[in-house]
Amino acid sequence: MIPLERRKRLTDAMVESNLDVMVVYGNAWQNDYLRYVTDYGILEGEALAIIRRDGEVTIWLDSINEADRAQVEAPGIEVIYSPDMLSDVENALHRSRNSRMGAAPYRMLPRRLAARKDDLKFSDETNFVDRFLMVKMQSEVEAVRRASRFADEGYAVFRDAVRVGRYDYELIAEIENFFRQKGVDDNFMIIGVGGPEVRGMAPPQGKIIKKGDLVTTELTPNLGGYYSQICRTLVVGEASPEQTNVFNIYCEALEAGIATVKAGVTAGDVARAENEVFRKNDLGVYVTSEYTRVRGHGMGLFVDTKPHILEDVDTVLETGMTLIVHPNTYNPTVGYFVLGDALAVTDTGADVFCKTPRALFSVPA
Amino acid sequence: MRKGFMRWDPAEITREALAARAGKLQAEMKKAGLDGMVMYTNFVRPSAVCYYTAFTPYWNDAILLLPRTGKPVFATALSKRVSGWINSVKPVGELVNTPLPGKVIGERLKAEAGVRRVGILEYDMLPMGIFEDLAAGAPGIEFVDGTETYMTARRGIDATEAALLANSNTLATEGLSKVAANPESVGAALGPIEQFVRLNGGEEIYMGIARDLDKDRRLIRLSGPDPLGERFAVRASTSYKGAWVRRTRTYDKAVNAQEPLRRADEWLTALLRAIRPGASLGKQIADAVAKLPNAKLAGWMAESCVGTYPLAVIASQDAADFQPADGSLLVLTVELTIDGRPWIGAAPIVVGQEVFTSVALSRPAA
Repeated sequence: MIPLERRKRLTDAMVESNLDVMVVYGNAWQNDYLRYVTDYGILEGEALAIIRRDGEVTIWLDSINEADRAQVEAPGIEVIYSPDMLSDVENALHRSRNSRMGAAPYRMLPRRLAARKDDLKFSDETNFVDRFLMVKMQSEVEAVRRASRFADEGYAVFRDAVRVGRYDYELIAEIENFFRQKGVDDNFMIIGVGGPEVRGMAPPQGKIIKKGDLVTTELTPNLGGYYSQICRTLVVGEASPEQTNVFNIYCEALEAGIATVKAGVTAGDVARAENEVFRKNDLGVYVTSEYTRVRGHGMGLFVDTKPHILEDVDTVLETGMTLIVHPNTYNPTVGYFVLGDALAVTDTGADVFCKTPRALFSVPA
Repeated sequence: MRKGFMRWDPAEITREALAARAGKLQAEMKKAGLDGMVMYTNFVRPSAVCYYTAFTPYWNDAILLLPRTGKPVFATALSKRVSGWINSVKPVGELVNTPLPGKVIGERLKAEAGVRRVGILEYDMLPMGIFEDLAAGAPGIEFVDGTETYMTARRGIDATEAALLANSNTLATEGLSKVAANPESVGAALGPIEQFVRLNGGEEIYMGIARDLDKDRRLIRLSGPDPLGERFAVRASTSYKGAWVRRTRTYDKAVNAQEPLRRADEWLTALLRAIRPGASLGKQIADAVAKLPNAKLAGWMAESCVGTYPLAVIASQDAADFQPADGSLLVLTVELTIDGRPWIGAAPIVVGQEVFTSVALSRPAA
C-alpha cells in the first residue's frame, strides 16, 4: 500500500529530524503535499492536515461535499468537515505547541495561519517534504509507470480523434470520456491547433482542425494520485519539409536531454543538452523565457513538481526521480511544437516509460 | 485544471457589464475607505476575478488589483507564451506575466500616489507567499480584509450572470439525462455526461457518484469499471464561462421504481419555484416535505457563490433559520427517503425569480 509506505517514510524522517507534527496544505491545483500525507485527492475547496510522528493523520476540509468523499476515499485517517478550518487548525496546533512542528508548503499556507508561525512555534519545512515528493520510492516509480501506460493509450485515442473539420474541444471531450471509462479520475491537458500563429498550448478555444495544421497536446493522466505525461505533435495531412525538419530538431533535442539523464547530473545539465541543439540550429532565442517555460519537470503527485529542467537549476538528479523531458517551444516556421517522454532517473541513465514512438504523426487530411 | 471550452464572447459578457460590476465595487470601496481591492485567483478560487474580468486560469495563480478609480491590473504566474491566449479570454485590464504576482501588484500600489489602505478579499486565506511579496512591494500600505465590501457589491445576479447560469444549468440537466437506462458500470454512466457537457461549451464538469445509494448516500469521485447498485445518484457540477451550478439526480434500474423518483423530482422543482425570500428556508423545506406522500427529510444544504469559491455552503439543516435573499443564487440539495428508500436531488434557483428553464444549447463554433 503506497499511502502507508509514504506515511511511514515521512514519519521515520520526522523522528530522525526531531519533528513531532507536520501540517500540510492542499487544494486541487497544489495537492501533492496533502496527498502525500492523507492520500486524498481534493477537488473543491481547501484542506489542511496534520500528521503526527506516530502516523496519526487528521484532515480538515472546508467543503462538506469533500468531507463526505474523504471519509470514503481516504480510509484510516480522521476526517473533519470544518467551515472555520483556520480556527480549528490553529486550535489543534495551539494544543501541540510544546511539540516541535513544521509546515509545508509555506508559500501556499493561508496567510493567517502562516502569520502565526512564531506564536504557534512551527517552522517552514517545505524543503523537508519536497525531498520525498521528488525522490520517490520504487513503488511510486512504478505507479508513475502505470500512469504512463494510460498516457500512451490516451494519445492513441487522441490521434484517432483528430480529423479535418472537428473542433479542438471535441478532442478533449473524447479523451475525457475515454479516461472516465478507464478509471482515470483526472487529467491535465492543453492543446494547440494551427500553424506559425500558435505560440503555446491552452485550453480549447473552438478552433476547427484543417489540412496542414499542427495539433499539439500535453496529456497527463492521473492514476491513484500519480501523474505521468506525454507530449506529441501531429500534422493534419502530409508533413511539409519544414515541419519534418523542425520535428528532427526537437527529436534530437529530446534525445540529447534523455541521454544526459542519470543520477549525479544536474537538472541544468539536461536543459543545456536540449538547448544546445536549438542553439546550433540558430534557434537559441526560442529556448528563452520569452517563448518557453521549462525544458521538462518532475512529475508524481503533482503534474509539475521539482526539479524544473532549466539551465540555472542545479538540483542534482537522483535515482527515484520521475521526470518528463520536453524541449517544447515556439518555432517561427511552423509554430508551437512539442515532444516529450516521461522517465525515471536511474544510476545508469533514463528508464523511459513512454512507449508511443517519437514521430511526427500524420492523420489523413 | 480547466480543460473545457474557454473563449470570451463579447455579446455574452459585454465590456459594459464588466465595467458596471467594477463600478459597483469601486463605489463600495470608496464608502469603505479603500484605495484598492486585491482579489486572488486559481482554478479552485476563480469566481471573484472571473466576475470582474471573465477570466479563469486553467492552471497556476494570479491576483487582480481593482484600483479605486480606473482599470484593473491582472498579474499572473502563467508564463508569457500564453499571454496572447489570456488577452483573448480576458477583455479588460492590463496583463502582467510574472513569477511573482504579489511583488508586481505591491510595487504598483506603492507607485500610486495617495494609496494608503487596500482591501484583500478573503484576507485570511490569501496564500502567504503572495501576501509576503505584496507587503514587501508596498511598505507603508495598510492591508485589511475587504471581504465585506466585496460581498456587498457582489449581491444579486445581473442579466449577464443569469444567462450564463441558465446555460450551465442546461448543461448539467441535459448531461445527466445521458445516463443510459441500465449502465453497466460507473464509467459507462459518467463518461457520456462528461462528453456531452464538454461538447456543448462546458468549461468544466466535476462529477460525484453514490454508486449504491441504498447502502451509502455519499457521492464520491469514481470512474472505471466498478459496478452500479440498483439505485444510484450522480452529481454534476458544471461551469459555463465561470458560472457554476450543481444538479444531482437519482436513478434506479428497476422499471417499477421510476414513479417515486419522478414524484420526488417534480416535488423538488415545485419546492424551488415556491421558495420565498425573507422566510426560513428550513421551514419552507420541511413544510414541503410534509406534503410529499411517504417522504421523510434526511437533510438539506444550500450553496451559493459568495466569494472566490464557485459554490460554498451558506445554510443547511444545522442552520435552519437561514432566510434567503431576494435575487440571490441558491443551489439547493435535498436528501429524502421516499417509500422507504433514499433519494437525492439538487438544482439551482435565483430566489424569488423563475427556476432556471432549459436554454437551447449549441456547439461552440469557430
